[in-house]
Amino acid sequence: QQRLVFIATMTCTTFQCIQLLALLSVCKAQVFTLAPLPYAYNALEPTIDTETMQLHHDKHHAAYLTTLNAAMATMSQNESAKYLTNLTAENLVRRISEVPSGVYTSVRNGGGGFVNHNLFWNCMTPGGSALNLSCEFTINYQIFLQMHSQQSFTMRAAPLGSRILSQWTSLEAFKKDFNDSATKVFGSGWAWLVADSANAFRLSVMSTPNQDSPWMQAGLVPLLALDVWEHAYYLKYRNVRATYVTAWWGVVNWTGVEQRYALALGSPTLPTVAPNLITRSSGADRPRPALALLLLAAAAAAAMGP
Amino acid sequence: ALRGRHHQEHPRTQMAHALPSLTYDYAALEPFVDATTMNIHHTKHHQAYINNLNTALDKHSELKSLSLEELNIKVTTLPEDVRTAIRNNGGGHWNHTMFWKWMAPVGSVNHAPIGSLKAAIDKDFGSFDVLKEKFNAAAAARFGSGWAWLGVKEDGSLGITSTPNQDNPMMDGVADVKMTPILGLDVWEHAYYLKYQNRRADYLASWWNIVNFDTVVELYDAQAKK
Repeated sequence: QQRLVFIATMTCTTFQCIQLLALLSVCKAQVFTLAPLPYAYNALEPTIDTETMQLHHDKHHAAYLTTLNAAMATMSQNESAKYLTNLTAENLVRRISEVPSGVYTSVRNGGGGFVNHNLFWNCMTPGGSALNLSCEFTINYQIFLQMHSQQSFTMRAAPLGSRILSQWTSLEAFKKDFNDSATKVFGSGWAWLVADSANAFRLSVMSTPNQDSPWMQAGLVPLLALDVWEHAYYLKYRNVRATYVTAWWGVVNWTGVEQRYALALGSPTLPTVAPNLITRSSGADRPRPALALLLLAAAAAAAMGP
Repeated sequence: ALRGRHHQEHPRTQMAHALPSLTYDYAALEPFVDATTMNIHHTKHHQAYINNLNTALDKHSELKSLSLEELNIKVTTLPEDVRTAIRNNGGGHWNHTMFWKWMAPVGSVNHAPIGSLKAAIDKDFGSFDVLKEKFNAAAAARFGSGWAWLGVKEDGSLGITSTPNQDNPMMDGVADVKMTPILGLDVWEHAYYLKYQNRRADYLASWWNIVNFDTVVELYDAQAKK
């Protein structure tokens, strides 16, 4: 019986402890953590050297996070600013105008640095992944039915690739624009490909100083980011930023950029292949919606049965 | 008579800006600033500012009669199409020209203030150590690229400030604190990354070993006379 009492007492105390801890965690500010790189430190060699990846992630990115978390702790003590500590890091940076003046610089620099580098690692992948530029598109049956039932609809084949081609005529012309922007940043900063949600998701290339970002401008959706702070390239490329910028395209994760764009457009993740519903373009890559529709209609009719 | 390539045919037009030579070898500041950094910093970064400055001035030859210092001071009054280029590259050229003079091999010069500068430092900061602390704090706090400065303010007292990119405290209407710089430290990552990587604080601590206080004293005394 004594043992039972002892156990009962300990259980109650433990339960109270758990309640207290739960309360504390609700009152405590969210603490952001540094995600590991999505690949090994040497995975982007020879384009980006291992030592740079180590320093860049473990030191620079980590330091921005420390600054951000300190700002979070300060804001959590502030009754009128506490709500900001429940936002995601990106949303906090988006809503930087609401941040108290005492932590504004920390959120701008540390929070900005944190989210920019989160995106940057995901903009790269070992060996790079290609951008889908052809008007070959894939569609699954459900989406076809949805589209077929409407009077008119927009074919969203390779939405990012086709948008880049329509705005820049060629991928090379786009890259040249982007490279110019990246090399012209004076001092520290970033080059970006963004979509403007307030303007039909029109794409544009822009640059920002230090750790500022398109998140800080209403409506802009960052799709692709390139760090041109000297720490991003100096060990390998020294003063020759242009060589770094050109070489970087070899590790760009276009698949991730496409997914980011698709998400922004509001469409679900690009649908998977249904081989009999794929049309292939021949010769010059020009969309041929009429032919595609015919093929799809035929396939759908066959699939629907009598 | 021709006197070689430096013969000027149009005396009113100033010659294009050129890279000044260092008075010491690239390796002479080791181990505090590494030879490779000195080499690239001088022959690539500083040279690029000079090239870009000359290109900008070619668009407005009337500006070629201004001294480099005047270009910096009057930067906000320059024609809009070259204003940014001259701010960045005229600033860069002036800053780096001075920077090489603000450093010297260990033991070749005074590495601590003397004379009236020392008195001014003691008066305005309390001690050289406190000055270093405050200077390093300004240098560490400069986010992104820029410079930290010790300068003479308009009231004659000493001040410390930092500026972004290639700005400097001489630039009217640009610098937060207007001063005549008597000591400056480059905290662009290219100034220290090869040896110190992200550890800017280590670079700051090391740098004081090679500061050329003879130059600083000279600049202070010249400013004190005005």
